[in-house]
Amino acid sequence: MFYQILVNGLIAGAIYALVAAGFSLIYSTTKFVHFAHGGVIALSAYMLYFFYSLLGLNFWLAAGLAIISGIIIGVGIDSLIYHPLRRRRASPVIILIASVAVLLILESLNLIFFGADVKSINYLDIGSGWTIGPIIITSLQIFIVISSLILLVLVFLFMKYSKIGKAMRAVADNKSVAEIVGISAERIYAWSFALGSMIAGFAAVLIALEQNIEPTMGTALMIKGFTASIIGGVESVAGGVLGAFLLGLAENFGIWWLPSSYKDAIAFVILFAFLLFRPEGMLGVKKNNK
Amino acid sequence: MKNDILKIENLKKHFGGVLAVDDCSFAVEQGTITALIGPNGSGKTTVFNLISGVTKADSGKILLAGHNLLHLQPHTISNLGLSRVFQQSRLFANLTVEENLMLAFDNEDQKFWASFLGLKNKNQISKKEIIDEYLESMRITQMRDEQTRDLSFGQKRLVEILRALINPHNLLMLDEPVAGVTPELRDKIKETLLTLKAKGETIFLIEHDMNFTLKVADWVIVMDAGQVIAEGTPDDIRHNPKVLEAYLD
Amino acid sequence: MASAYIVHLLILIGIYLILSLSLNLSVGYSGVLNLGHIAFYGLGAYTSALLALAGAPFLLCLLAGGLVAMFSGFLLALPTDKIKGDYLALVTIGFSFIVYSLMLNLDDLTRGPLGLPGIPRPSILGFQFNDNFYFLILVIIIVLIVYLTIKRITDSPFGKLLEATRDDELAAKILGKDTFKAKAFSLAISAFFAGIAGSLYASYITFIDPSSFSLMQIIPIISIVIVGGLASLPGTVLATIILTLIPEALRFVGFPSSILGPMRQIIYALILLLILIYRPKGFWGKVELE
Repeated sequence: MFYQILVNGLIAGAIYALVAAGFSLIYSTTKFVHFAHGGVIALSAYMLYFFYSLLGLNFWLAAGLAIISGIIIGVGIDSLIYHPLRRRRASPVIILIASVAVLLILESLNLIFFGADVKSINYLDIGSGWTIGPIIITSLQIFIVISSLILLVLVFLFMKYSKIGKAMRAVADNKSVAEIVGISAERIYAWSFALGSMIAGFAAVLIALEQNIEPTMGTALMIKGFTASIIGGVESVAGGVLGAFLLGLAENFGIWWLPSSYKDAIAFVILFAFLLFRPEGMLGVKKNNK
Repeated sequence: MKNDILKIENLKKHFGGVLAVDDCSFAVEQGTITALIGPNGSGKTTVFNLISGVTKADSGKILLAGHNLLHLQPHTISNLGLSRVFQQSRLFANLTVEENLMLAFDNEDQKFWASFLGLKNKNQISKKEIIDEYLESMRITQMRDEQTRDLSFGQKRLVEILRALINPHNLLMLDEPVAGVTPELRDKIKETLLTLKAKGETIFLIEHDMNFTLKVADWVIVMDAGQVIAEGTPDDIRHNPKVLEAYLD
Repeated sequence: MASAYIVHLLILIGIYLILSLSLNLSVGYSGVLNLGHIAFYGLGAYTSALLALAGAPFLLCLLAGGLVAMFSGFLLALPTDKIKGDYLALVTIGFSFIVYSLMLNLDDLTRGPLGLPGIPRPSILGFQFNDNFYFLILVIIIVLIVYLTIKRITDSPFGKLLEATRDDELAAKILGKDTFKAKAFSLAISAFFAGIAGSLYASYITFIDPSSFSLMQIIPIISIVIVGGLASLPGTVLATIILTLIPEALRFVGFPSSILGPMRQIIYALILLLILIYRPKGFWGKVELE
């Protein structure tokens, strides 16, 4: 039983990790909370449904188009909404409110174009499972975990070795200094949104395979993703990933004891506790505040 | 000394790896104007922040009229008799000058029901009279109903000082009161401080303007790199080689 | 009948007024950006509904709704001492989400997504408020009480203390003010009125379900508060009327009713975005949002 819960926790963690990774990447460079990130994921999931289930395209093609849609939406939100706000020197609070408004617009569009009933993508047969010792795991779940890990490793390599990745980390570390050495912060922001939204699109495809698609899925994912980032430390993508796995484990072990209706409550209590006692997260550095 | 309003003993504060305040000890005698000077980054504002509770000290003793302020909240410290003016303007921007000053008198406004039902309103009139007198003395009566965000820099300074005066206190702490003000205003503030001292007030100030400080202060404490390196009358300090060194480094 | 429609609209405006005025007390006067205000609304609605379904008299239900919401307001105030800015806003968002999640999942109590039908209309001293017109009178009376109460608070010395806390909390502390207590009080009062609004809503529509209290329902309310202007009670009144009426125009354009709901939300979100980008002080605001 323990091992099954452990595995379930890791699978949930893998999904949260993808959500948190994209979100943390954007936060670490831009320093504000892009709450609409959850909406980008939801919309990409619906795009997958549109291309695959409605238009009948090949799954991999549909998935690719869904991811591209995510990137377009993410970058679009930045240039249409956040950029004008940044030009006005809007505070992070204002940008947060704006991003919640954007999330609402995205969810409402989902409702209008696709309706309120849940959709599902039946590409991989959910039922076919493997029994490894005391654990039952489906091929879909294995696919999810492996794909997440591969993507996360690729993102890590990109951030560490590519020119853009290094520029992103420079801006994340110290924007003013980065600008002095000639890095255009606005360009890097656009890249962050592109990369973060690409990860979001990828997460959307996996989530759509594993769970049902419904119009308000963005909000719940965002709360979980944000919680994961806080637990691990918002300043880094690695923190977000670590926090995500911890959250997945905590939730699944939590509902071993508590009724499963309290699952979301667990995430929130953890979020609350960290924000109160250790807002810099597990990997973060304590900042001196007033 | 017996009549010390403020006594600091072995005060220490780290910020990350940096020792911003390194084992400082000094006292401020009642009825004097004491100045805390030193080059930029010597820890003066940190000391002010530690005393007023804005920052928590690592260790040491901060005694205000006998009370140890060490782990107290800023509002508790204020109610024990401390008034402070900050380096940057911290007026309530969207409130009028009168409203800013009204808040300083006492904490009756904390009482929700009394406030809601309009009890104890009799004091309001005498408070308004006191405010009018203060504004007269500073010649800014015409700004009484203006939002403080619309005041000039100098006017804001004056209102801040008035607000700190109205706040019941036995020690007045001013962080760079004449920084960036016109020469006339500087003289006005100098006069005000001397008048206050004549009335028995104790003033503890940080200032960079050496001329101003040496003319106004009774006692000067010099800090450098988190430590107290010298103490004395303005004359002592003027001729102290250690002080010159600290500034020239 | 046209007049029935107008009465219905006025009732909705009345309920929204209570929500907006109470939110302005928190955001505009005290500087506490509570994006979780809907949680108070929902707690009031569910408390009142459950008591009413158990046979309790209406005034008791109304009061209980307000008190339960008020208590949760005190709880939410706890983190306001240590957490500021966008982190605090996120805590309030998380709070809203958790209340929603509890409504959805504690189905023994709330019947989950099925909601609570058959909530009785108010009955005060034997008078039944089945006729919408009389219900409107009840709402008007309560709105007047709420408006006058909040106005009294904001004009009083306590109100000035709240504004001082908003403008510069540290300076207020240095004057000896216990700003945490002041903020907690203001949040609790704000919550109380939101709970009252929830109780009115429940006993008007006679059916409630979690979807009316999802996190996103904050967008119309915060839009009203910002458009009307922070710390302006008349501004809030005007904005409530205008912003409630604008989406009603959609009804007459001929959209199918399933689309009306999300379209309304999109309109509110767009208005909010426009105001944030072009006029963050709103139209009658004393203070700009920060």
